[in-house]
Amino acid sequence: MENSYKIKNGEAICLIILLMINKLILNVPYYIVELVGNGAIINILIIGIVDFIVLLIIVNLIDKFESMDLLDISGYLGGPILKNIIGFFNIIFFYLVSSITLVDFCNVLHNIYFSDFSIIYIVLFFIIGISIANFIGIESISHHATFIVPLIIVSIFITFFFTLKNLSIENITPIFGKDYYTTFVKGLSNAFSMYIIVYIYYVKPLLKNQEDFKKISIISYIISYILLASTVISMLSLFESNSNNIPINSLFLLSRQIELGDFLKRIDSIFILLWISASFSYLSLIIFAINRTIKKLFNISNEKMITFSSCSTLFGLSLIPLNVSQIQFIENTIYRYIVLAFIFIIGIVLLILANMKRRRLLNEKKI
Amino acid sequence: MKKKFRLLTVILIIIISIISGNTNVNGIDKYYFVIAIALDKSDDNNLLKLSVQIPSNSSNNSKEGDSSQSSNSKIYSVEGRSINECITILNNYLSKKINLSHCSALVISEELSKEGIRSYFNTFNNNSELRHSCQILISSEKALTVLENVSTSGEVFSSRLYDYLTTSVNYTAYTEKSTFGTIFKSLNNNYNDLSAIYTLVSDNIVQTSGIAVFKNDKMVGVIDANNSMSNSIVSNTLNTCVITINNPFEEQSKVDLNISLYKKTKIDIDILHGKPLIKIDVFPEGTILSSGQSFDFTDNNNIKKVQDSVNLYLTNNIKEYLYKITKEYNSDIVGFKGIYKSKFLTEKDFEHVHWDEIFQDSVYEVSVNTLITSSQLFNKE
Repeated sequence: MENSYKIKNGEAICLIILLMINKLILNVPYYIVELVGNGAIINILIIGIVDFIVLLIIVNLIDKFESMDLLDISGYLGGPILKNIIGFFNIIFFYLVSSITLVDFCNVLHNIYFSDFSIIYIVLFFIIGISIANFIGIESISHHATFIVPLIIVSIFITFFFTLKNLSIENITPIFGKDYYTTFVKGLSNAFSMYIIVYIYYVKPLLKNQEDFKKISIISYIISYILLASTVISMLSLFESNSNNIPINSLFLLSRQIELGDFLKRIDSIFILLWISASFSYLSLIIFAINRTIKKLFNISNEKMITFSSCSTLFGLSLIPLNVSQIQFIENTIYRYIVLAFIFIIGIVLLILANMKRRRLLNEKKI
Repeated sequence: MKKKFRLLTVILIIIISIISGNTNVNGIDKYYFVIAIALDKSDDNNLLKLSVQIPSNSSNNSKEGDSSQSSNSKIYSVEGRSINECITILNNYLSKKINLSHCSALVISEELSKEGIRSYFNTFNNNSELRHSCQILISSEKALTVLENVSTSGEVFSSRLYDYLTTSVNYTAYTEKSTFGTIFKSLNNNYNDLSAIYTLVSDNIVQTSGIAVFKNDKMVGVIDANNSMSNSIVSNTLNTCVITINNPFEEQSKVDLNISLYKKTKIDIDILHGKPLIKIDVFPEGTILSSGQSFDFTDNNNIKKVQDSVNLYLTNNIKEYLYKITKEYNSDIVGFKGIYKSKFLTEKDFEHVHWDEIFQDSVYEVSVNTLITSSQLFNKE
């Protein structure tokens, strides 16, 4: 029963992009536009460069450690205490992310299509699927992601190209947005939108070809960035930062604008089907990450055995009554700063210290 | 592997048995699909009057050879304090749920539009059923009368008539295209005011005629059909239209031309002595359709004379339109604000201009450069 499946390069890229797609489906691109207004184009260029530099640093630092993720590296650096601290932080982070995603997406589904059903049934639908996927293992999640991700990329590009006709010079100017300070300084916090970097810390031990780790990270980053940029640009064609209307799901509103001639209308209903699939796959992956973390912390032989308990916890968390403003506050503020702290401070500091320790030990060995 | 398969089978059987045979399933027989909605103010109080046009079964009076889409329609009206309350009353009255996913037109009365339409659009936007391609019409009379006249128009499928009402803009330019999507976009930006199709109701006939002009979300006036062409030219949406000008060769006679744009209209804005100076260069291309009893377009000078006449006619028409929206209505439906804003690097810099305060003082310089390319089938009588 021990899950020894190693994911191939293509599967790994699709899984990382899947993480990005889920944040695009929920409101991350709108949060970028909301903060910096029409300066979003300049802002995403800046955060793209900043995040890419950070990604390169992280990849180079992790590359020195054979078959280790951040959890293993923290164990190597600070022993079981540090490993447990980072592990618990991971579990809390993953549960926060997954429960908010689940609640938010189920709310969207409930509002759009299933208003007659209690939201608890929609949540249960996901929980059952996630349990089955995790019981089968990472291979089912990665195979599903490989199938679904190209279709979703196409759906996002369709949205981009069909909303492009609404984009005029008025939508993207003044090019530096509200003011220079907002675009260049405050806007740096939008770096959280490339949050897939968090998962780069954990992907290496899962890879079949670990020597391709750097390549996989860069390719998936570039594709994710293109998807983010195209969604943000589409967003500019519809919303203005000064508008008082804050959409619950901006990508859905964008896709409602698409019309392929007189015959193909309401293409958003096909997209919703794809997004349900993406969310299902994404949540399965997060539960897998939680299981893997618990396995490493408590030396459990088979992580599949804790699937039902971790899914039950997720179900319980998603039943916590949260209103729209609380969800938005968690997604836009708490989540933003946790991701930034994790990528730019905790992760990098741990990696630098671990590398210093490794170098010191190597030098001692030589002596 | 067998164990996994068994577990999966059990789970699937449980899920299928829960989902299938559910008496709560909503089939299409439980819905009324709305063709069009009309919004009015009620006659004797401050309530909202919502009317819906619903196709009715045509089996009783269908003729042989009717289209499979042919249908009659019924109109139901209710009064309430809000759109959702009206829909709830209708749902209760009709014993079926109102569904807006096939709604092809939303008609709002001029009276109601003058009080502001934002809240109605926000309500409809929260309804995922309504398509963004749904036509928006502002009615000169009660919106309900538009629905009634369309119902009795003789068109077998009423929703088509709403499409016909608005597709004529492609060859007449007597109005503009306005859908739920375009109005939603205008309401969500602050660089242009919104405008919508204006319909005239008279003698049991509905026809689109001009543009309803809004300031913020309140209707402030109407641009007539003749000036609507200028709106299409300035906003670069002109497909083709016919104009009639005085014949430069014969007094008391007219020349008809088919006009389109061979180049996009150029707009340049500067602030001069605290007033916006808006320079507009228009590039129409004309085809002569009819030109009186004697004509000779083999002579280049004659072509030039017609071009000058067209230039003068269009310049006057465009200026009349621009000063009307600026001085009379103070409404920026073209989006000059957005054009000027694009010259600035940040919104903070643009705020110093105080555009909204100076817009009404705008001065226009219009330059029309017409090109007559053809005289159709004959060059000389």
